[in-house]
Amino acid sequence: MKKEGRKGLRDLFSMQGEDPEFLRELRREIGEQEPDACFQCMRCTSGCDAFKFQKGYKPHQLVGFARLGLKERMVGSEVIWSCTTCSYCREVCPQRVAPVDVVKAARRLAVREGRAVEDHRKIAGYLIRTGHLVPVSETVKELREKLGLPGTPPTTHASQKALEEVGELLRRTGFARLLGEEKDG
Amino acid sequence: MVKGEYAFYLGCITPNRYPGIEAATRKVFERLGIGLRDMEGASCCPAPGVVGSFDALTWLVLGARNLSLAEGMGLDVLTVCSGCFDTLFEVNRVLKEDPGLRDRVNELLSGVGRSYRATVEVYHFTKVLHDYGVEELKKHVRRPLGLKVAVHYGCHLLRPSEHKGMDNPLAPRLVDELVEALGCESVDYPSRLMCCGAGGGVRSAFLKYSLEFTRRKLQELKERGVDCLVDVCSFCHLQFDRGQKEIEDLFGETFGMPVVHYSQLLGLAMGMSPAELGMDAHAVSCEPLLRKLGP
Repeated sequence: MKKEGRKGLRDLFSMQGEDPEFLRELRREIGEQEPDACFQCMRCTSGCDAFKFQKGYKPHQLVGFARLGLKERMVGSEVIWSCTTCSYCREVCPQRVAPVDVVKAARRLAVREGRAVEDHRKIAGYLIRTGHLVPVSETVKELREKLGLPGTPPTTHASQKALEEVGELLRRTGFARLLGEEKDG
Repeated sequence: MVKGEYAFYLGCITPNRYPGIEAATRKVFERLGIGLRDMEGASCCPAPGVVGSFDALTWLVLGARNLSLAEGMGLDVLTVCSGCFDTLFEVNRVLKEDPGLRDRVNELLSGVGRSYRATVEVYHFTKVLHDYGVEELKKHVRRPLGLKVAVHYGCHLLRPSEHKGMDNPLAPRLVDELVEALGCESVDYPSRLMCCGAGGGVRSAFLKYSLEFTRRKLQELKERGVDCLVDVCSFCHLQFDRGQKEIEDLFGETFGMPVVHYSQLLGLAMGMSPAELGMDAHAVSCEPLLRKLGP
């Protein structure tokens, strides 16, 4: 994009990239934060624990991709799933950009396009069937009783009505259709 | 809201994997005269990193349903897992600040006969204990522990600090003060504020990579000769305890580092037995630590 009096200079400070539709969608998903303000100082990446162990994961780069509307580099890349959402990047960003929120937004767009990671589908299935991502087991029920606790915790595990409520909410938000095993559920 | 009593939000990992943390929390709060009541029919919080990476509306609505249970009880919420704390705190904040979004969430909740007016507050148990007072807490110590411990703060207790305001996110003291109250020495180490590696759906999708974080921290703790790692989050607890077995399998490296949730450490200092705190059910034996404490 040309600017008057600055021939050939590209606008590096706003999200005016190549895929306006993707940018609109991403912006809606990001919510409260302001990705435009990033000036690629790399403070996020330099302190990122995920980057220490997965050199392909660079939060500043993902924010850059977002601003340029490079959809496939985000939504189509497994690297966005390397973030543990520790929020260190949000804490240190001098521009209040919150790369973690940009990454989570890109993940949600990926999931919406049916690109969820297979293991995540599995745990989402637990949530749909039991109300918990990590449901109780028979062994743990025994341990609970040994500790003087009710074998079945007083959660959705102990209440069919509560479980049905959660199931109904997951249908109403579209979660069950998006991540459940029954595609038309 | 009624003070001196809380709605005890259990979540998933605490009741379904480490019920010792649940038992310890119930016992130590009873000892302190702070009431904990069950939130019957609560579900997964849902997990901030993973469900928050799937669908934002689902994260909000299930979180709001859990908060509505506490609102119905007229109580503020207490959690012992920082993931649960992050979700319930953030959902609550967003719904308090954005009436439009609250209406949208309530429209969905009304489909199951519920509503949430956003009148409760959400607390991490360390904050409640710290507000109770470090000096007051010391009065309940029957057995000063004399242990050299490493505090693992985890991520979601402190960050993002903009809204939580728990402590200085880059130099926290909150949990250090709580362990020192029990007669422990809190040892500093370079990766003190590093993530356990489990969050954001990383543990479920990329186990070996997630354990790289855990392993790095454990290596530093081993070098410093600490008696145990003290965590304040059930998910971090699982990652460090069960994770050590997985590290043995995947990296061939053994640490034998006991992993203790602060509720359990407090129970020990109050004179409770390791068995009633579920410490005999950890993947990594707590024996070396208990031997040091003596009978």
